[in-house]
Amino acid sequence: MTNLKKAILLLIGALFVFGGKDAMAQANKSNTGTSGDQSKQEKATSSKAKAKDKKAAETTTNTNRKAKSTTTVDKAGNKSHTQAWDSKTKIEKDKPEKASSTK
Amino acid sequence: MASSLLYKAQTRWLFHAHIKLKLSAFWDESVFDELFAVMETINERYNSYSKGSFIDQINRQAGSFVNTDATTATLLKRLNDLSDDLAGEYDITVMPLIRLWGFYKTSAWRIPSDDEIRTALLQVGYRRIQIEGTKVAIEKDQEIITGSFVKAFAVDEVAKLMRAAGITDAIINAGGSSICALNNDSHPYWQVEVNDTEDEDHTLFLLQLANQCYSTSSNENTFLEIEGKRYGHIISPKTGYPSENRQVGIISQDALTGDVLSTGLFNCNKATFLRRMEFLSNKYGVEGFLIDKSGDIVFSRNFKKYIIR
Repeated sequence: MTNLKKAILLLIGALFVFGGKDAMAQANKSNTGTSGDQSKQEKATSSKAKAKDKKAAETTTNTNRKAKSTTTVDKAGNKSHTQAWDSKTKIEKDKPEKASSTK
Repeated sequence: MASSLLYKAQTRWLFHAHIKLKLSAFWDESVFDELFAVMETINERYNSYSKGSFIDQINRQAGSFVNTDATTATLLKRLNDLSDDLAGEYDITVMPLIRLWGFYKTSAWRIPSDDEIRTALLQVGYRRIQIEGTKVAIEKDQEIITGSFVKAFAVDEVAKLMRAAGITDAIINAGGSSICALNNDSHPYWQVEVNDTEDEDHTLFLLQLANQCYSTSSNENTFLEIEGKRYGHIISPKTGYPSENRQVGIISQDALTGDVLSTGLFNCNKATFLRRMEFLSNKYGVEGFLIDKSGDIVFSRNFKKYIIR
């Protein structure tokens, strides 16, 4: 394993420790569920995104579904699920990034 | 002028947006998995739309305290401070108004009555979020929406990770609305193209950023059409009505501050925007512009120094 990879895994581990996995599990346990299923609501969002954006989004989502999940364990013993994506890496030149509001 | 440097780039779908990471071709592409994993973790823990996230738990248990974590508590306090700086024009509890206007419906949109808006406004108020240590509670009928900041928070965390790992020439483009540039001596600037929301083929200007972020808000992609009129999704938590401005752009040191300020300032008129920018530029070192509904544009004091074309 390269030093860079080790550094990155340690930092991800630190985020998990900082984030408090136990607290999240505890919060989930005590969930009484009163406000409905937000993920369904998100799907129903009436945003009128342009058709080409929707198509692009669907394509990406389908690609994402092919992801394989792997589990890594940091030094503190925290497990994290990292997905090994199929996403293709593109080689790009230095060119301007386009800004566009999605929020 | 763009350099001849080469980069590796990957784009994935997270936070309901395309997230692009582009870094020097020197790096092995396995780095992308690790960087995107950080974003996935944030999505899982802090996105109100992620079932079981801390924010989802707070919403579902409205009226009771929920055990969260230090990150959630710190983040909510920071957002409340920014809301104070924006005199309440930004409010993460604005969700009842967004629902009222029909942004979560697929049909039967209509303009809410004044009474309905007044009732919904009673449920909005970030100052009523209680934070005690890592315990957080909102009032019954309140709801937090993270759409205006969680993506930017993830961008900042990935940028921190990149810097810690020695990645100093990279750009993160989160859905076009949050862009973070990392630069070093070999590549001192990244360029960002800002287009007219009314005509996407028309470039308004090209910005040059060095270790800075650019955030933008508009109604370009998310709006409702009711009785032939377009209503945007950014709703003033003070009036209860959608802003009619066209676009706000903010250059900032971190993506979260930029995203929150661009959303809140989108609810301001030109005079208020300029007045608030004087204060915000001094406090956060931010610069920005606003285009109002009639197409008039105003700039903060030093924004134009970033425009190269």
